[in-house]
Amino acid sequence: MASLKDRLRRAREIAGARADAPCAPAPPSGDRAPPEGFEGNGPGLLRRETFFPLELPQAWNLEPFLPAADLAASGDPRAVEAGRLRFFDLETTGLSGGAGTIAFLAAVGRVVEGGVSVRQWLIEDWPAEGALLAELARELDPEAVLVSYNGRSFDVPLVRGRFVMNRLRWPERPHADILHACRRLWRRTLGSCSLQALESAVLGAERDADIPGSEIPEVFIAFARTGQDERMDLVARHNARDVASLASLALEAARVHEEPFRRDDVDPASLGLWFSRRDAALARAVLERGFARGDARSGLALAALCRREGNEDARDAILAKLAPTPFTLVERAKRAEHAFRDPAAALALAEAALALERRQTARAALERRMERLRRRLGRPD
Amino acid sequence: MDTDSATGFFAKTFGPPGSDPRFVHVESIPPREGAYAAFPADLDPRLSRALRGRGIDRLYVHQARSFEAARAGRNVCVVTPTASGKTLCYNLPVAQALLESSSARALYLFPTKALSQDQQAELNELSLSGELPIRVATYDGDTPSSLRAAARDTGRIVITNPDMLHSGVLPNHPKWIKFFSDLRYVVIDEMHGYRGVFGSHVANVIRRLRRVAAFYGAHPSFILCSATIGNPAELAHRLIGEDVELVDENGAPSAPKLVAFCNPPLVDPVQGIRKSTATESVELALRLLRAGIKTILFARSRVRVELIASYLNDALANVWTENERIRVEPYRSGLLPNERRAIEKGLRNGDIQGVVSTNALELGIDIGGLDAAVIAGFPGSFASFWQQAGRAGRRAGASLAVFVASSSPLDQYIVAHPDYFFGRDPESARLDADNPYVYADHVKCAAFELPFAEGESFGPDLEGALSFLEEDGHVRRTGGRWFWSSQGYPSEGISLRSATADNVVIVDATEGRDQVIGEMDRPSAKELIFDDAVYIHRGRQFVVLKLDIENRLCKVEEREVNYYTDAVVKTDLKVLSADAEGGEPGYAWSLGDVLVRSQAEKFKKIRFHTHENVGYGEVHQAPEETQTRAASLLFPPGSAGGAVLAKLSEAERAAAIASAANLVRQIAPVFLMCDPRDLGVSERSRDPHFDVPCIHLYDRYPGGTGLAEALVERLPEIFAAALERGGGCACESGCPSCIGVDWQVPFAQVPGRAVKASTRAFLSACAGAKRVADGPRAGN
Repeated sequence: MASLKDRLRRAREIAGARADAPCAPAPPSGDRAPPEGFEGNGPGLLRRETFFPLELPQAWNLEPFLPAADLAASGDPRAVEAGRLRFFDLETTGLSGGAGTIAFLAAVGRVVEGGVSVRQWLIEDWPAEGALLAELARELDPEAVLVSYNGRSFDVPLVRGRFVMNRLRWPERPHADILHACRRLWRRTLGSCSLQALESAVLGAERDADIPGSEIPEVFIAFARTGQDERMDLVARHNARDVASLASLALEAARVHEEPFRRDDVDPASLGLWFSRRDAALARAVLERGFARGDARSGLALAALCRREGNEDARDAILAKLAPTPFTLVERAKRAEHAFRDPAAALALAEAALALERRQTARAALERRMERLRRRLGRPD
Repeated sequence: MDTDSATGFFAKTFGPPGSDPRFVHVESIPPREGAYAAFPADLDPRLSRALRGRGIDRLYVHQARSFEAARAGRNVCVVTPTASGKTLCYNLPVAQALLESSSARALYLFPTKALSQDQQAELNELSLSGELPIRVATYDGDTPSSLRAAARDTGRIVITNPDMLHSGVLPNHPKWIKFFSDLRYVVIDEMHGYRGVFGSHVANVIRRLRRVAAFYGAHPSFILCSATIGNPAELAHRLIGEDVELVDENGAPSAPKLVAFCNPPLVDPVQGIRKSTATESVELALRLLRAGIKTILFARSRVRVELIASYLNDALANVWTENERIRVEPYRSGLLPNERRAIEKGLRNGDIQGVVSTNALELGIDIGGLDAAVIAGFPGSFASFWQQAGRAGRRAGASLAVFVASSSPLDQYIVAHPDYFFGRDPESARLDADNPYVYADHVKCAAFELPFAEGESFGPDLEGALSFLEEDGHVRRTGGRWFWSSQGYPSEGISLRSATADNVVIVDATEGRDQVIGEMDRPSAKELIFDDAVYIHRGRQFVVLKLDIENRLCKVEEREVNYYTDAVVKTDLKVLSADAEGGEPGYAWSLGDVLVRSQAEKFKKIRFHTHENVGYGEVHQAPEETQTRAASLLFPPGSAGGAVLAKLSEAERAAAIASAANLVRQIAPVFLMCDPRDLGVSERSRDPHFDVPCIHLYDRYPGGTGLAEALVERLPEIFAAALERGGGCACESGCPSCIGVDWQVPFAQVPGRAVKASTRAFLSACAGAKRVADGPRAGN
């Protein structure tokens, strides 16, 4: 019987597929031309450091980014010492995760005099991954606080798995992932909340040459196989630049959470809701401004705030000012029926709501409401 | 009811034996005493308390033996019929281990999600009643992502299915570090279902599971449970790659049982047409139900299940006792999960007295005890038959299984030869863990999960598979290891089952209801819920407004009709390429791609009850096409086999090819280690492509899994074995064990004896005349 490999090969030929040209083993490290600025950092591992001049404060407010569980561990979250921050970002061999996806490039930025200094480690081939992870762990001293863009859902779970597979322990640290705060501020107003999109729209910065994130995995695969790929320069630049932008964006997002009127491009309703659990007066100010500018969601949030404060009259006024929707009409109908004892007005409002409502269950509830009101009015259907 | 005697039970419903000529044979299966063992001395007191709390104060011998073997760290395979306390065989040793070590974990694999839910309910009951500190978590496609982390981190017993293990758990094993580090037991229930190509896949998933567990330092032992099959220990060994201790003596007592064969009366003796199986089965089930006997009726298709359930409910409807009538429910695939749960519960607590089911209820879904089973038509395998018959029978009380024969030759043969039927061993189940295509796919997945070290051992030819994968750029050999070096997520593109998971959702659009009422796999949808088809869902009738295959949506409208629909499906096979050719003096073969196309072209409208044809309609659906691999066996006149065929009359030739094909169909799976259902067979006395008599054997998995390639290498053995079976059978004119009986319908004018002789001459020519002349069976 033919060998397994021959049988598989024959099947592939029949299917019309051809093997890639058999790949030569990668040249030894010494023969490689490392990407721009990188130097050897042990077998198979490269390292470089890049400085980005930026104006950054000494104390950072991370409260908008840190989950409650991490708050206690990090001291006062509203004044975190700049020296503790580790802005970080990974480039990986795949975008869907899983045990076969590794981090081949890691960047860690620290605040230094006059800006951010970004250290990067790049592996030349798979076996050096453990060395990269060990360097990364060294950066995360016990006082360190991680700052990332989407690191909670992507980078940290992935790198935690990589540590497990290399029989290392991932140093758990407080982690400020700024993605959710950025979405809160800008998703409704700017649309895309990718780091690159916000870098351009919020920070007003433009990148000259860049590489789309989706192409990055194949660059490394080619780089590892052939020993070089000129696109790796772009990947490394992309990665370092992401970390520098992350620092600027974190600062700006934190400031908006302190001075809500600082920018006009933020979503007042979402920001107001965030404040409503912390500072009711500020929340009211943000929402009133949003509502005055015609933002209905701010109006609804304001109405909810009024109810929480027991100010039903103010709530009524807001609901009446809002464009009629099934929700506002039903809420007004409830008030007309129960607070003002005016079933006729309540019925009219419920009828108006029914005309707009399309969901089956909600329509059924409205019909029951109307039937009850008609009974009270002594009217047949 | 006279519960002491099965005969009494039968007589009460159908009259004394011999009084009803429809019952052509009644086999009495004597009761069996239970064989018991005391609780093992080392059984944790919390477990014995929990057991006593459920009224159990001793074990059956098979439970005690499983406990002992599993405790000793040996792999165990338990073979038990329905209702013999199977779950305790694994729950006891697992619970014991988990109580002894607060970190130990266990993995339970069930073939379907429905079974997982059942098992979780049962485990919760066991652990709650004794307040055992064992958290049980289900982890499958239905587990919300908010619960997944908790299942991974704190589930002491995790229940899942092979598909989820393959595509969800193993590729993400670093998230399961705690689980794998302490994995002590792996339980595989319904093992008999892991056969054929599906079983080959699962065996490789288990190789991967062992490898990942070993990475975390765990070496779990396996407990496997199977329904009765011919070769349980062998199948278990192939599935887990290690020897198992077989526990096959059943200690559970069983009450007496009668198995009755019912042959519906001839309504047209000239043409041999009998009363319909459905009508006859309904009548029998009605008698049983009206006598207060809880009954399950097995039918062979979803449509028949709905039809028979409707007939039963119509007949039982009684305006005077509106809410007290006997309730019968259909149970089949395509019902919504909550509907299934409700029916299972109704059967357990007695709200539902009758159920009509497809083979969906053969599996270990807990529906409590039933008293009678009516099997409408032979289910295709002896193992299936006994599982269906086993659904009737509680621990105490006689039970009855009635097989209602259809007019198919196989069913008629069975009722005519009860000795053959009752003397036969159940079928063996096979899988081939080393099938190169399946194996290479899983080497890919395993490389993604952990880099392979040079010299590591995994399956038949790791080096060969890895260097093949390296040519495609999937893995990279560097630094003494093989790394996954591709972007994808390999398990995503590899399905363990041939049936695709893309279901068509059935939406009730009556008066804007817009409600999902069921679902159906795509190939079936094209044959069952085409435009204007009648779709019956738990007795309610719907007419299909529009089947939108592209969007996987079928809109139906509730409507009272007096007919159901039955599509006329045509299947044809087109040869696309001949990639390799060869042959022996007896025959030639060609290996290549084929297109198997099945299409519903029109449908019949069939009136309820009378089953008369009341009209036709057109079906406008694109055919379901599968491109796959086939071995085409060719018998040109120049070959010895072809020469034998050329001498026969046209009818004899067709019958000889059909019966030879039937033999090859039965025998080839033994050599290919596959399931008979993995192979399609299509024979022609003159093939349009090759222009000679031909038997096509094709792989039912799209794209092929190597069965056709393996087949051509084993042809001489297959023909020799076919000859031995066909020529050596002691029957007079053909039976299902040799040349089959199916050929009798189209070729009724050819006497069976002649067919047997010509088939034998044909096969001995194919196998090589010399071998036959020298063979021990020559002259038989």
